[in-house]
Amino acid sequence: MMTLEECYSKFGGDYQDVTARLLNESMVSRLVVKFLDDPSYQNLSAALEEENYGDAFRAVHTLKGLSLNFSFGNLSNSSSDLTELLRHWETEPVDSGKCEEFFTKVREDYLAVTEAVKEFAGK
Amino acid sequence: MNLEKSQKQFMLFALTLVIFLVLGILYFLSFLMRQTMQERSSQLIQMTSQMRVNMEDGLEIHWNLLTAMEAEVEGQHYGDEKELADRIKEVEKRYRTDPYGCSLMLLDDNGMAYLCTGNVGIWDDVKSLADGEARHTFISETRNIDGVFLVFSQALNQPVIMGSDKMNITHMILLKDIKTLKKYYTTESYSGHAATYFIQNNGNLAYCDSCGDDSIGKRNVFKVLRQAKYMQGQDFDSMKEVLDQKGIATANISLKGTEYYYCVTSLGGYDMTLMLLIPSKYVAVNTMNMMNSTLFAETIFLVVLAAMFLLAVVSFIRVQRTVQIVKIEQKNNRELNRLRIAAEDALHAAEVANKSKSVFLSNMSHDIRTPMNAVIGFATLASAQVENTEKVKDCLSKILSSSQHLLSLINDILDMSRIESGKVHLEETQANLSEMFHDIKNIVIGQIQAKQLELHMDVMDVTDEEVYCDKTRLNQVLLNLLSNAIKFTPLGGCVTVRLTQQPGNTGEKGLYEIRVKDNGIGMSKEFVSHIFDPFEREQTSTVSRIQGTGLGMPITKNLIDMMGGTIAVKTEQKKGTEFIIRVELRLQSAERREAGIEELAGRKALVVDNDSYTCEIVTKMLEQMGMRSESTCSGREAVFRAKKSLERKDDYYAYIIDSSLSDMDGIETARQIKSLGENPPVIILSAYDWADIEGEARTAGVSAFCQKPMFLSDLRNSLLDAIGKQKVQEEIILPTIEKNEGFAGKHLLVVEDNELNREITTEILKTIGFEFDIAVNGQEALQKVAESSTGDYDLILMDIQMPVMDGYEAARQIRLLEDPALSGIPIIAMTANAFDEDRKTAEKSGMNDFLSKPINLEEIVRVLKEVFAQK
Repeated sequence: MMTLEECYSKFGGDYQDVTARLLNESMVSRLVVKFLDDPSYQNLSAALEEENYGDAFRAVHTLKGLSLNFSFGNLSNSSSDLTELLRHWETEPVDSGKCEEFFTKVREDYLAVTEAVKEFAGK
Repeated sequence: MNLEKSQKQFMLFALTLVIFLVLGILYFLSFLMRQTMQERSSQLIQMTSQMRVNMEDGLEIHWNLLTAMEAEVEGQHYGDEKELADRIKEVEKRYRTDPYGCSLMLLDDNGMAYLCTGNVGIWDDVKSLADGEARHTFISETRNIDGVFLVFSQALNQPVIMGSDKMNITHMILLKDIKTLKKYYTTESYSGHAATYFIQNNGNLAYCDSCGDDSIGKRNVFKVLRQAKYMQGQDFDSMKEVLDQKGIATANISLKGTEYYYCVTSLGGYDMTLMLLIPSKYVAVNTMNMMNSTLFAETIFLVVLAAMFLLAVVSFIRVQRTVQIVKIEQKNNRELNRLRIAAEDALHAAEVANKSKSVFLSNMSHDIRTPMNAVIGFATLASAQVENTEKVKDCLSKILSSSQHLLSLINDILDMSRIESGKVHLEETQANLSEMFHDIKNIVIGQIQAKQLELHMDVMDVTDEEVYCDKTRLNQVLLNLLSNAIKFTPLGGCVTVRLTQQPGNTGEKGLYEIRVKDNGIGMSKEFVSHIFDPFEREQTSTVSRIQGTGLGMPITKNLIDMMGGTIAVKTEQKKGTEFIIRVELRLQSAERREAGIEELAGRKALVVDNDSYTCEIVTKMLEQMGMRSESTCSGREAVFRAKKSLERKDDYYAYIIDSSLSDMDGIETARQIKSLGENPPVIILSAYDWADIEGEARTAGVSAFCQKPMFLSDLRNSLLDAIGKQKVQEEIILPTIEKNEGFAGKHLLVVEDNELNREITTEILKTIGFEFDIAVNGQEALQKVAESSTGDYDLILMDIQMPVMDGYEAARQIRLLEDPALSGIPIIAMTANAFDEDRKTAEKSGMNDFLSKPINLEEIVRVLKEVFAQK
């Protein structure tokens, strides 16, 4: 059985940080598994397909928040980058090429996290 | 390859045979040829010989004739030619020369010839008589007279005088028409194709009777013969030699492309050679025919033989092929057979595997029920006492241990490979025997109580509690035995489990003995002999009512065997059963933990238990810890001795009393002892749940509680507990939570659209001790606040990025509410944005403070404290 620490090291997350902030390993273990059910990434993906940058911004912003809460490392960074790219969607046009590039990175990191967490959850 | 080789050999053999045959035949043929030739030759010789004889005989007559005629004319005087001629005619008539084809001729010394017809002139062949010989024979072809004649010439002894001239007739000549010789040499034998040659000594032809077909053609016959091609390896000279020697010779020649046989014989008296020249095909025709037919027959025979041989070869090849095919067939059959057997084996193995799968499933279902019952039991218990957190915690703990056990069993089931092979593998892990046994007790206690049975669990001489073993499997074994004991013991019966460690450890391994005994219905001798066979169940009326799969025992045996242990059964029908397991377990550490307790060293303790065995065990343990120990089985006596000991000022330092004594209740005993005044630590030892008697026991002044089976570590802990020291805290499964008293009772509103974030936040808030309400966006938050009354919400935690209405707007709106108590509620922003501008915006919206993600407990506490302090 995979430990939480192993899981975190698999996708490059900060295990020490998260267990310090969120009390103990038990709580983190319980909560991190729920991340698999979180719809933020799916919302982001769908919104970008429709080029609905407003929804996309909110979705990736949420994703960023979750990543930070869970010390997801790479995913925190990539979602943060995409968040900033989309922040001023209302006033400035969005560079769709860059958007695509940043989203690809987000997807990569997201998949890394979910793979590891799935394995940790024993699914 | 084999086949080809033998075929080759056979072919070789056959070929040799054929060659031999051919050679043989060729030899035979040549032999035959020679024989034939000889046959023909000899036939020819015979023929020719006969001819010669005939000839010579025939010719001899003529001399006689001549001699006789001579007498007629000898010394006679004839007047003239006419008289002579008449005389000649007369003699001819008299002596019948005509049939012989003869004519009488008289020859005078001038060479004039006189026939019956008169003077014919000078005779050509006069010169032949010139040698002075009396007789001559030769072939004449005189011009004077037509035809070819054989001349018999005899010189007259007395010459005949003729005429007035006194001519002298010196010779008398018989002229024989050569054609009349024919009858001497004629033969039907050669189909009339025999050519007869009369040859002079010099080789020249004298006369040839060839029926119009002169094959020689030349005057010198010998020359021609010499030049001819000889068959049969002869030549002219060799033939001549034979002729000179034997007077007759034959040869086989080829002239102008035609094959001939010739036979020459010398007519001695006549200075002539007679030759018969016959085309080969007419010579010994019958013989030839015979040979031909023989050859023909032979050829046919050979052909037939060859055909038969060919047939034989073909048959042989066919047979070989068939043999080959048969061999291949056989090989295939063997292969098929082998495959069939393999398939059968595979089928059998599959069936066995299938059966073992079914068996395994049955086993597992049987073993699942036990811990499942425990879970249900404790869950029911917990739900009945839901207010009593301690009890609930305890029940939950027990549910957890049973559940884990159950889970491990389920894992086994789900492990398909184990089912397929029916094998299980031992997984050695660290195990604490005390823990194990306590867990087992918890699992079975329900069943025990249901049947109102007594359960005694004892531990003796166990110095090493920490071992390596497959905990799950060992549990499985023990639970199995216990289940059976419970199952087969009627109401009110008794089940004991005794664990002992045998002396004589190797240092790395400990030898343990576990006895599970009951006083139930027991087993028959016949059954015991099959007890470890699968699906065996005792056939008695009692048992047939009891459910079970009959698989528990075989599994148990299997597992014990795998652990390298032994299991034995002692049983008697209606008396009870005892299972004895002996197993070696690897110790976790060779060194023993220090058992002694300083404060208790040398002190006296009293053990009170109605089971003397238990008294003995506990005493031993106390002694191991450095205490002195006495024991009694009676509560009354215990009180008495306690009193006495106080009087003697040698009081017992500690009392260990079993909760169920025979004469007096254990707790009552404790009470009484306590009431003596000294307030010594009293430990209640119980087979049952502490919870039942805790209240009463505590009131009675009981200091600590120890549940059986009591291991050394358990006793030690109880003693330490009893004398007031901190117990070595066992890790309880439920996580410990720090409670911050300052926030107790505060009520928050958490506004967050993302469910997971919400959960994280609320979890942390829970640990701090807050109570909270939730809103999923700004709009809902506003609504809730607006509808709330004073004091409902002490604080709002507001996320910024939300659908419908974001945090800033919601805050603004709240600040605009009429009721100052509501509008003044502190609002703290929560967001992933950490920029200054965001803080500014938050401030502008009326928010009190800012919390940025990642969420941090300490941070939250600090901020909240600040905010509440401000208030």
